[in-house]
Amino acid sequence: MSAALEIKGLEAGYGPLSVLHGVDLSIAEGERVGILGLNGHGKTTMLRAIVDLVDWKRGEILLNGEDITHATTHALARRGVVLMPQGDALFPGLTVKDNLDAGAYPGGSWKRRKERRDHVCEIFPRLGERLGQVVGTLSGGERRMCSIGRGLMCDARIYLVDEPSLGLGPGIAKGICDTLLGLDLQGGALLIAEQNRALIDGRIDRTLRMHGGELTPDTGGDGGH
Amino acid sequence: MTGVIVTTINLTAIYALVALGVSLTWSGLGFLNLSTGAMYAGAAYGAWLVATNISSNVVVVLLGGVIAGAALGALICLTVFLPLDGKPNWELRTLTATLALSFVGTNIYLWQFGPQFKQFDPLFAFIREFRIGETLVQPSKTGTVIATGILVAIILAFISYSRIGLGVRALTQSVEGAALVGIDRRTTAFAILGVSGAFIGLAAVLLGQIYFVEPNSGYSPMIKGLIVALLGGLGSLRGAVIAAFLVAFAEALTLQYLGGAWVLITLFVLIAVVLIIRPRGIAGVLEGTRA
Amino acid sequence: MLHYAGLAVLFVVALAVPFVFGTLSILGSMAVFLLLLSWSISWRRQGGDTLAGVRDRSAWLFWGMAAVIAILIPIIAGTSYFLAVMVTFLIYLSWNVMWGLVLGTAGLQSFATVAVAGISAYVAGYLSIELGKTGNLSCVGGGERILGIPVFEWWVAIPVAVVVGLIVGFIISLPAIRLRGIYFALLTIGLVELARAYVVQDKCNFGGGQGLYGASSFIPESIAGSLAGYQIAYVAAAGLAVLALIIYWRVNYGRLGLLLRTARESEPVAEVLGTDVVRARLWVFLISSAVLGGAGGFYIAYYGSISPSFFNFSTVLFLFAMIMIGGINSPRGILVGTMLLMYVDKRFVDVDPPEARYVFIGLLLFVVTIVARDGLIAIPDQIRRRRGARGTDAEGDPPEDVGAIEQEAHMPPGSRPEPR
Repeated sequence: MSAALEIKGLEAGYGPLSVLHGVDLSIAEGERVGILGLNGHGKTTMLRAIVDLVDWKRGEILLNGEDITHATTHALARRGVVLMPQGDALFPGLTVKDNLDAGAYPGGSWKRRKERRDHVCEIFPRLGERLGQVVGTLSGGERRMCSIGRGLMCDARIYLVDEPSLGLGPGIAKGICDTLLGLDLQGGALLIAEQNRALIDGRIDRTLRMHGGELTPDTGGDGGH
Repeated sequence: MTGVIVTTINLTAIYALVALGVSLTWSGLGFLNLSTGAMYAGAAYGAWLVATNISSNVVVVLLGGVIAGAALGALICLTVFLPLDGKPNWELRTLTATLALSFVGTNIYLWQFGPQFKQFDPLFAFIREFRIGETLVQPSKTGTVIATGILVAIILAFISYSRIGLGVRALTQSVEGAALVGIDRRTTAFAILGVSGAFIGLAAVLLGQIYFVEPNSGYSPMIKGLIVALLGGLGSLRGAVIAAFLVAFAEALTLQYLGGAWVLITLFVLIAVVLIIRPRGIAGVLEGTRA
Repeated sequence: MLHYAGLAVLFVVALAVPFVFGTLSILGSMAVFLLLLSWSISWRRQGGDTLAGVRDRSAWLFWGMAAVIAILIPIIAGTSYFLAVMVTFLIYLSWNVMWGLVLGTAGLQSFATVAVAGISAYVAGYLSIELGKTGNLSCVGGGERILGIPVFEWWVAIPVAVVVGLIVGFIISLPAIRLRGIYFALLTIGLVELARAYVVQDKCNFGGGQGLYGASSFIPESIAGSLAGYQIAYVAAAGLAVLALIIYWRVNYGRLGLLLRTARESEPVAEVLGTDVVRARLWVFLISSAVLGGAGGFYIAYYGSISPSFFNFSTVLFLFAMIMIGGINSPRGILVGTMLLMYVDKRFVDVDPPEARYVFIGLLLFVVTIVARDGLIAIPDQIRRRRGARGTDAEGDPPEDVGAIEQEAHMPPGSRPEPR
């Protein structure tokens, strides 16, 4: 059986800038993998390279054995590669409900958007209370919930989560990470980038370190501050 | 004064249509469609062809204009948006390409239809004229407001409740976010330009009731539509509607008290003043109050 | 050496064309020759931008040839008709060069070129008619002239036009400080339309739909309309165009241009120099407006008349097509584009149906815009960029040279600019 996501010799960057220098990674179905590392070492670039949000990349990316290296961002979303990005990339002028529904845009999910939305509101009751509110007026924590909730609206095979704790207070950050890591992946895999080891330690299958654009096995040291 | 109000409402409807077309394209796809004028004239000719060859039934003619406008919008998508999407120098190149197409379009109309004015038979003859106080409200004005209301309601419903509509709205908010949820910008672009074209097409048929159709008849509505869209703050649909009202009111007042020759000058002064005070137009004011 | 021999052969062919296809075709053949010459110069240069960047030392060949052509033209094709075409061309060229300064160097999306030149021309014409010897249009005096200042001749009118251009430019530049690119573009398009609407409306002062006529001309009445008259006009117009080009150089390669270019290429620099950049833009706009005013004054001093159709949108579009097809970021591009479209316009002037000519020009502009990122002239640079710095996204436009040296080691294979 092929891996859920396999990355071979991935190099990527922006303009003349090269950020990733040959990353190899294989994630099995149902696996939760954490990537630790300091800012600016390529965690975000790696996740963005997977969904084709970098200027350029070379190497190979396989989804269940299929080559998706040159697939576009929206095509990948339709195939179940879901990025919950840094900065959330929400639609600030739309309501929480519309933002969530947008997550169900890929064909098959659209018809079941209502039950999905109810499911997300069970996970994040705060969102349920604010369905009619415009996203631009939400607090940082609520926005993060909305961004994650949006990612849960479709049938994802791979969840890519970029620093869910960024910019949040410790309490909210912990709550969000707890929810996220407690999700039933239903056969999908999860790749999470995080600076704060304490937030993910113990609840994921393995961790790796991103350093200077290269992935190394985690030595168990302090992964951040 | 009632005359001014009736004219204002009538013009508001029409300018809002053109400005919505311009604004939607800007916010959804990030370019200014300077072939709006040629689309306008094209849709008017389309409706005129329908009226003379197929049926002069009001619904058929209006649909003819709307469909012709939407088709021209799709053509702009195919020829300008798709080839230039993501290319360097985007802003100036889309501006130039749409300008060039507008030039081509206008001259093709001139070639095909000649410079003579074409006239529609009154579409709304079945509506009875009535009076508000002293002012006679012509059927064309009543019909304009009703037809605009219906089309705007249909399109608003489409944008608010359908899947594609959500895609359009999402795209106006965040390009990256839209891509991440699987919205294909290039496919959705057809919907955006199609809807824009439909608005412009309807405006063309409605104004064709009052003015004649000729190859350059789209130029003045385009300038006014652009003024309205700018005044509303490009990209803000709510701003566009409010600005349409303001511009229509200014125009109606000018018509009443200064004469037709002064209309453009008044509008220009209005827009210059608003933009210098509020560089982002009415949308800037709306956001200012919200924050 | 082979390269120069090839160019020499091309030049001879281009020179022969008018003898076979008529005098007018020299404009087209020389435009093509200059385009090919510029391409070959850019192509032979190693790496980097030929046009936008620093002063290009190999440009002398191009401009040397342009000067030779300018001298040869009245010798080879010295008919009155063709010289008249050339004068119009040179006036357009001087406007376009200034427009290029505004669009390219200052990066202001202005369409006010025609408005500035036209308003200056109108005011200069008005004053020269009203105050000058002829004095036949007075509003106040009911046909009588109010102030007979016999010295208000063209040589007073042109400096006045410069001042008017400066004032108009200053007024237009006020909103430019605050408005984003596209807003400014629309405002200036509106301004041209406004100017037209105003002069049409003001029958009394500006002659309404008919426009002004009878302004003082620099061509002595005794030789007006004769070949000698056109020869004088040609030399004068060439002087105007050269002046515009020199000013372009002084600005674009001088302190203002350097500042603006640096700001455009580097975000941090632009931020640090924020107010300086705004001021530099305004200076460039003002300088170009003054020159445009002068060129407008030249227009009225040559034709002696002007009509509201000057402000027609099609005029704006025609000039815009010239510079966009050639390439707004280079005076070479502007020269070639102006020549090319001038030729197309005059060559097909009596084609049937007349609209076909405009459809052709519009399609030409459309195709060049879609294909070329910076006009025809920059195609070699475009090809080199495509081949050179690129990752997987061939369409992307990676900011070149930013830290290129320290990043070199990390550059992925194939992403290094290939020396040619």
